[in-house]
Amino acid sequence: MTYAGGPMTEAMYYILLALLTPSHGYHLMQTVEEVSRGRLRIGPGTLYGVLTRMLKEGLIVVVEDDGRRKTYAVTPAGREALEEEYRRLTALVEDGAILKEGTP
Amino acid sequence: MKPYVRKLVLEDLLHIGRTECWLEDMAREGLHLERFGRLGTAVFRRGAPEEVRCRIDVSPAPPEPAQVTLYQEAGWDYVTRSGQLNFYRSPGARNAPELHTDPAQQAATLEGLERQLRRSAILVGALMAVFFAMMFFVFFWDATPWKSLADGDLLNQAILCLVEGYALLMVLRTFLSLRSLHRKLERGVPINHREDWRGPRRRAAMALGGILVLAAVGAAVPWMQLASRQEMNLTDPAAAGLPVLRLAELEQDPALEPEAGSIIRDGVDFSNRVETRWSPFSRLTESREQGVIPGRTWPDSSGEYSPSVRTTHYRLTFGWMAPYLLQDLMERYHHNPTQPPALLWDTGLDEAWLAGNDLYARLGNQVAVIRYYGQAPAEQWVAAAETFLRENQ
Repeated sequence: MTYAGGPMTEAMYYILLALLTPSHGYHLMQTVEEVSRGRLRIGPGTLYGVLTRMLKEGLIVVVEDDGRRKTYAVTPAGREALEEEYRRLTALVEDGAILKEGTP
Repeated sequence: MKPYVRKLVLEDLLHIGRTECWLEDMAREGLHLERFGRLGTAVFRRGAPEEVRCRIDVSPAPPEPAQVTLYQEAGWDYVTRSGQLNFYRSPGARNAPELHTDPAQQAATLEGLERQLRRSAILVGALMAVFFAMMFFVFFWDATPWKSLADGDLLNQAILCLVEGYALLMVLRTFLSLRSLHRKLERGVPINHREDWRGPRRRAAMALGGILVLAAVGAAVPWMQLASRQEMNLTDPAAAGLPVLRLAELEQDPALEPEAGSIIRDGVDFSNRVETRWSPFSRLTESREQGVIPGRTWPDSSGEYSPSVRTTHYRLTFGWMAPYLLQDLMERYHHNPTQPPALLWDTGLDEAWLAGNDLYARLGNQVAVIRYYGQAPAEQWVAAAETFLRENQ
C-alpha cells in the first residue's frame, strides 16, 4: 500500500483534498463527506489507516497535537501528488468525452 | 448475582467476523465485554440487553489517544485489547458510520500479523515435524511397537503427540483463516460481521474437552503406573493370586526344593520374586524362580541339578493385540539363530512357538513368554504352561 506516484485510492484523494485546509480527524471525516457532496463516507478506521500511511509517505504532516487530537496538513509533496492525480483524473475525463460525442 | 461473567474464548479471536458476531450476541443477552482475562477467558459485565455493533481493529500497538478520540467522535468506544486486536463497540442508537469502509485499506492492516502468523506456523510446523520424527524413531527403533504399547512406555508420548498435533492444527487454522480474510479484503469483499459462531464454538469446545481429557490421562498414567508397580518374594501371600507359573508345575518332582538366590534387594530375593506392572493396555506379571533337587546332578555332572524358570505374562486390555504382541516378544527375546522358533500345532492354545527351552504362547487376551532352564521333557513343561494359561483365563 505504499504510494509510489500511481493512481490514488478514492479515500486518499479526498483526504488530501480536504487537508488543503489543516484539519483534525473527525472534522476531516465531515469535510470529506462535504467535499464529495455526500458521495463518500469514510469510516474512522479507514481514515486513521490512510492518515497513518500518508504520514509515513510524507504526503501530510501533523501541525498540532494536543494529546487528544492531531491536526494534519498537506505537505508540498502531498500537494504535488494531489495535483498530479488531478491532472490524471482530468485526462481520464477528457478522454471519456467520446462517450458524449459518440464513437470516433 | 455476580456483576461479571467469565466465558472461555475457545475459538481464536482472529476469526474476526465470528468474534464480532459473538460479542454482539452476548451484548444482546446483557453481557458486555469488559476485558480478556487469563487462561483464554473473556470477562463480561452484566447489564441491560442492548443492540450494539462490535468491531475489531488489527494493530501491533494499543490505540493512540488521538485515534481513540477520533473513533469516539465517530461513535465508537474503545473497550479493550487482546494480542494485536483492539476492540470497539457502538450502541445501535448512535448510528455510527462503519469503522472500516475500504476493505483494501483494511487488508493492509492485516499484513504484519499475517507475516507473524506465517512465521509461527512454519516454526511450530518444523518443531512438530522434528518431534513426530523423534516419536516415530523411538516407537519403531527396537522394532517392537506393540510391546512398547502394552508396557505403557509410549502412551504418554503418543498422547503428547495428539496434544501437540492439536496445537499445531490450531496455529495452522488461525493462519489460514487470517490469510483467507486478507485475500478477501484485498479483492474488496468486506468482513462478514454476522458470521455464525455457534457451530464453530461448539466444535471447538468438544475438541478442547477431548484434548484436556487426553492430557489429563497422559499426566495421570505414569503416576498410576508407578503406584501400581509391586515387587515381592514368591513366598509372599499376596503373590498367591498372581499369574505365576511355578517351577514345581514344570518339574513335577516332589523332591524339588526352593533355592534362595544370592542377591537380596530390599528384602526381596532377586531369583525368587514376582513383579507386577500396570498400563492402560495390559497387566504385566514377571516372575523368576529357582530350585534344587538334592542328590540329582546335571547330565554333564556340572553340579547339583538346579532348574529355574522365568515367566513374562501379559493380560491385555484388548485381546486383538495378542498376536502382534507375541510376534514382538519373539523379536525381543529370541536371539539364537541356530534354534529358530517352531510352531506347536498340537496344543490347545491360540498360538505357541517353541525355541529351545523358550515358549512363546498366547490364549485369549493372555500372552506369555516362559523361559525354562531345566531337564523336564518339553511335552511335560509345555503342557504345564498350557494348563497355567487356561487356569488364568
